[in-house]
Amino acid sequence: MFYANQVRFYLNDKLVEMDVTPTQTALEIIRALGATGAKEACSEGDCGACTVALGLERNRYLAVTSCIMPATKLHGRHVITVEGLGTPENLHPIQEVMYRHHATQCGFCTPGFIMSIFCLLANNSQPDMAAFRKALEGNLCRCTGYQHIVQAGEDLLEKLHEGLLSISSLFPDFCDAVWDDLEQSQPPQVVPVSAGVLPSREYHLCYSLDAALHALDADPQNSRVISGGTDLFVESNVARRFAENYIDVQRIASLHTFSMDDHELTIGAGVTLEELLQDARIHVHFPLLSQAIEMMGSVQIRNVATLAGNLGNASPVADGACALLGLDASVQLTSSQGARSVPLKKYYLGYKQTERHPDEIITAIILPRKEGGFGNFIKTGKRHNVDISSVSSALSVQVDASGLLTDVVLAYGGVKEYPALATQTMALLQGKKIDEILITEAMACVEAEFTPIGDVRGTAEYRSLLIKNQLKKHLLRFIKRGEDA
Amino acid sequence: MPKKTRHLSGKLHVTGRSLFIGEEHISADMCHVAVVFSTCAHGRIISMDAVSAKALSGVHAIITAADIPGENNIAHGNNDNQPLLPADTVMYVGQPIALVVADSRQVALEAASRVTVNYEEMPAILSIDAAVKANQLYVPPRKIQRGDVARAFAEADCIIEGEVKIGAQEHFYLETQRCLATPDEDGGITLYAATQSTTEVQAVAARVLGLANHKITVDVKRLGGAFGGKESQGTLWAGLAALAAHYTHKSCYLELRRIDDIMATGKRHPFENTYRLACSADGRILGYEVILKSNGGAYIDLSLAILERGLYHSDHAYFIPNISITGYACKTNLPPNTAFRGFGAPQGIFPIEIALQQAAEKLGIDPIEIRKRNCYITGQTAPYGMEVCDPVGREMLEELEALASYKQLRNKVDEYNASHQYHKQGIGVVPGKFGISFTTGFLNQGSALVWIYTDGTISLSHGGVEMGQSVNAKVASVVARTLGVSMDRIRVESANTKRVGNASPTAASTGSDINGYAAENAAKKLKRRLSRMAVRYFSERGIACVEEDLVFADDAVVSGDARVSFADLVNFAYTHYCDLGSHGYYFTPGITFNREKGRGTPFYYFVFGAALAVSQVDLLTGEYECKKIYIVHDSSQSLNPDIDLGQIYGAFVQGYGYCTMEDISFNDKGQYLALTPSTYKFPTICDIPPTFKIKLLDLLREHASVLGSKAVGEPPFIYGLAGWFALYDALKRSVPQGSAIDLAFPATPEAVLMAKVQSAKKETV
Ligand SMILES: Cc1cc2nc3c(=O)[nH]c(=O)nc-3n(C[C@H](O)[C@H](O)[C@H](O)COP(=O)(O)OP(=O)(O)OC[C@H]3O[C@@H](n4cnc5c(N)ncnc54)[C@H](O)[C@@H]3O)c2cc1C
Ligand code: FES
Ligand code: FES
Repeated sequence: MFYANQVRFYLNDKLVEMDVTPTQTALEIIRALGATGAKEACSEGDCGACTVALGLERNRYLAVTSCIMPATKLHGRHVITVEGLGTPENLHPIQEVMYRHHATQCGFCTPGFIMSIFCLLANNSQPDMAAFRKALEGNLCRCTGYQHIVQAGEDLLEKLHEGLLSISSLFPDFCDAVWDDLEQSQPPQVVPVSAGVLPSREYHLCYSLDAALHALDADPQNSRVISGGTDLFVESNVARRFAENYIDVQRIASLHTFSMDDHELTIGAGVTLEELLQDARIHVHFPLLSQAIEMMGSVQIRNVATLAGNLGNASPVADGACALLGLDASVQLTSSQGARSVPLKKYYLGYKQTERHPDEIITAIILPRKEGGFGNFIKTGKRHNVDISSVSSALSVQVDASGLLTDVVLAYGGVKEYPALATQTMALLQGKKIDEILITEAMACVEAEFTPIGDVRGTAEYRSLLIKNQLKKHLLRFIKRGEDA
Repeated sequence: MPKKTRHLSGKLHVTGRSLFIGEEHISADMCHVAVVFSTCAHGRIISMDAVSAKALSGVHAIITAADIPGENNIAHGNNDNQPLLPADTVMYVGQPIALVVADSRQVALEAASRVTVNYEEMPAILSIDAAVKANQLYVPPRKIQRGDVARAFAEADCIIEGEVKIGAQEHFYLETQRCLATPDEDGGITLYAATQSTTEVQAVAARVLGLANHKITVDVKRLGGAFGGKESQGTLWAGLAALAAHYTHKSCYLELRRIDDIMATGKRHPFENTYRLACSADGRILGYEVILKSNGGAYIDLSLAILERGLYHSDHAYFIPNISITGYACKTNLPPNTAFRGFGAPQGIFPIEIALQQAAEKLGIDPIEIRKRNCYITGQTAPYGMEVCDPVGREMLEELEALASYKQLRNKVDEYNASHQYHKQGIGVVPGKFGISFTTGFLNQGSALVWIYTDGTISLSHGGVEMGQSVNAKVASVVARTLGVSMDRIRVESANTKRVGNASPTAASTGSDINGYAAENAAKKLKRRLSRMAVRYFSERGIACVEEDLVFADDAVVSGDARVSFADLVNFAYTHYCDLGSHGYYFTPGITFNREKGRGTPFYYFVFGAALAVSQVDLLTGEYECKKIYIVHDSSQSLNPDIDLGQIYGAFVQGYGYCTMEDISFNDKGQYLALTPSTYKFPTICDIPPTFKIKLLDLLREHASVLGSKAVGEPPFIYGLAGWFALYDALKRSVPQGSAIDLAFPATPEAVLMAKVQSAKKETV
């Protein structure tokens, strides 16, 4: 039997109650409801044409790529699309600057850009141009060369900074009424209804860990735990690989915790990458992780994606996993039998194979705290923004009183079947003082340690060069703390 | 006033109200079409099993070549024979071999994925080398020659030679290929097609369905980007949708997924070129010999015209007294490569630019200086015998030096390099000279249809297709200026074969030239008629005037103190039996070319400009960043400077992506390896530097187009090459003087690092 879910959400000012199938995407639904400003141009989260604002609570709207968002996730949410902001007769201030600065040519990408800008401003009242560009890194335009969009941004930010425009005036009028209703009708539960459609059976939107474990226990082999869905829904859209059951754990409140004591930081599996990036504790105590997350996907992706998903996907080029490995993290796995903690260095077994049993859910990630010291993350790809690594690496070290390295951890992504430690090089560096000779030795050592493969993201030869040169960069940065390297 | 007009659909675009293909004209029983693609680069179809696909609920039909009622050939305007669906032999991976028609897109895609095909594989030719060896050429080699090349080399002080391999480029129009086909009552079909060429789609759909052209209507309101990728390549998908609608008698919609679009459609042609340059000691070009070889893919498509444009641009901005240009168009088992902004010119231009760059190094001359010394001057002719009219390459380079404060910039970059070990900066410069006109002469014609309604508003149809370039705004502004009316009186209609038949493709940057002239001609006819009416109008009111004294401006017609509003005059004209509809036609005069002799006048005029880029390279990883861009561009009497700027920004960035990060190769099975934007990377907003300056120039000239304007679509694409030269220069600064740098095209971070490493290896040998 197939099950569709009955969801209830708002699309702009309209209440929608409808059945959606497990693998339907939010974009499909939004467009079918007539909001065709949201476009499909890649269906894998990479172009931003489908960007909409997803309201999680009053005044909190996130840019998301609706093409890889499971439609069930719309339940209880408020979606604002470009149609909700303004009309041709009465342009919204963002639409007005984009229009006036010729920031649209063919127009196919334009709604996505506008929604990204809206979400930037809705969340960050005083962005600068660097933040403006960063907020649009996930929106591709093939026509404009972006410069007119940049000029529109400069104009807009100037108006904001001069107080000619207020953030609150950017929110459409209907938002308040929408939230009055949504807040009253919370907490909603989706209702499964039977329907005969392709190709998956069920999508469980779980609100408690128990419910999730129960659903998972029913058929662990044919179920996929889903958090942000930024890996899983690319798989279904592009590769047409579908799971029979999806078990969505992202609404489980107990997975959204974030706690730090003197020894460790525990990140709940539901915490999104963007939440981590905005968290001062991560910046201060685990800068390496912030560096890595900043380079992962675009804001649309980071708004929903999780570290748990990054580990769950077990990709050899997972940046989060590489950074976590470099921080000596552990992963907490929970089944209906109980919870266990596995050090990340023991987590990977082979290509896309991990210690996680099918009936286990990743519930937390635990980072040991080490004060002082040095941490650095490097990622090399074809393009600086929104690209998958050819090679990535993370180095963390402590320095003892006499200036010698201790607690050396050096992790790499993109060099073998899974993110891996460079154990020989770690041993070589341990207890040493960095100088030119040691750098040369360490580079030779690490180069010999891995035999990477060649693929579309880099030849084996290039990867080998990156392995040693990234280490050089880490060490130069360590000595010089920045500058030329 | 019309000069300041914004994008006519701008307000619709920014509010999401503009409708694209598949978003309107939809009926409740519309079917979705999915394509079964060949997975084999060359082979015979032995069997096809569609049983489990047919069994899916919601599947209406599976359609193959046997179901084509007319002639199974979609080749247009050339002598090739390209099937809509191959009956037995597949020629490339991604070639459509069957269609599934179903209730929903999901069911159609699922069913298509269940169709299994068995092939008898045949040897596939993929590379240019293999094609040349097997003599798989579309035509005998083309040649253009002048002077005595051998003597030039004998007398040269400096000889440069080399080989360049230039990769393909994916269009990545944001809107993938698509078409909605709806049956008409009389057996005809209306196609809402993603095409730059309504005429070609009409003719081909009629041919494959065995119908007369007049039974096929093609309507295009707007495209979500095209860049040449929908000039000929929209035809296949429109033909398939038409076939599905004809077969099922239902509305049928076909929309490619991105991954299928990249897999199955042609790209910018890869070229492999060898060059030899002979210079005097002071850097003057004495002779140049270049061989261009293009990878055309499995059907000829536009390969010949593209090769020709490559040949005609091999001299680029430079006068070369002794020259030999040879071109090969190779037939391979890749998707047929096709038009892409620049149309072969970038591949023809790159060799002379790298050769000059290397000559400058060898002779110790500044790279801008050597280019200036060789720019065409008045009276000189191109290798194919046409005089290069209004040559301003040298002035452009001088303007560029001023705009970028070149001397200071060079000093700053040198200072940076002196103080940085692991990062180096470089400066790249290229001039631009781009010939305007279709090199296929008869395509240089446009038409327009203008109706003035009795309330004084205007409906304008013209042969151009709007794809973001604002051809509609430009053509409308020509009408507005001619009739002295405001832009909001004018509604530009969709490109439709019923209103404008036999339209040339909107391509070769000619859209606003030929259609703008045609619209001007139509508007002038109306103006003449209205002038007669105005004289009558005024005389009935006791005011004597002559037609010559009338001024059409500000939505009124004025003679001295007398004035009639445009709307009143129109109404007067209508009630006095005046024809208020008019068709305008234009063809570009004097375009001829003799292919056997390699002589003729392929262009009406040239567009000049120049660009400079500063980039910074990370010598440890090969990554880079573009720091500054300066461009000067000859826009003459621009119809709309803001629109022109948008075209230049966009073209630069597309050209910059082409020569840097845009990397699409294929494996030995003929499959492209970067099929999605997760692997095919083109610039984001973060790749564009804060300093991105363009100066539009209007140098006095004789040769320009409608209302003194010039075409702008393609010429600035060339400027992007400055990005490649900036990386090349940065790498040069990282190695000892005189060491060679062999930088690939595109210069991906990997290519940059490998160039650096290989140069160092050569040094130590
Ligand atoms: C445009 C784009 C850009 C991207 N860029 C990057 C990048 O730069 N670097 C990078 O590393 N990745 C990148 N990714 C991949 C992806 O975003 C990350 O891997 C992300 O961390 C996945 O998180 P998620 O919550 O969305 O995972 P999901 O898709 O929900 O799940 C991924 C996998 O993890 C499993 N899983 C999820 N949650 C749990 C759980 N709690 N317990 C057990 N298993 C679980 C799922 O079953 C699935 O196998 C990108 C993806 C896109 C679409
Ligand atoms: S369609 Fe490209 S990101 Fe959604
Ligand atoms: S305007 Fe065409 S893709 Fe951005």
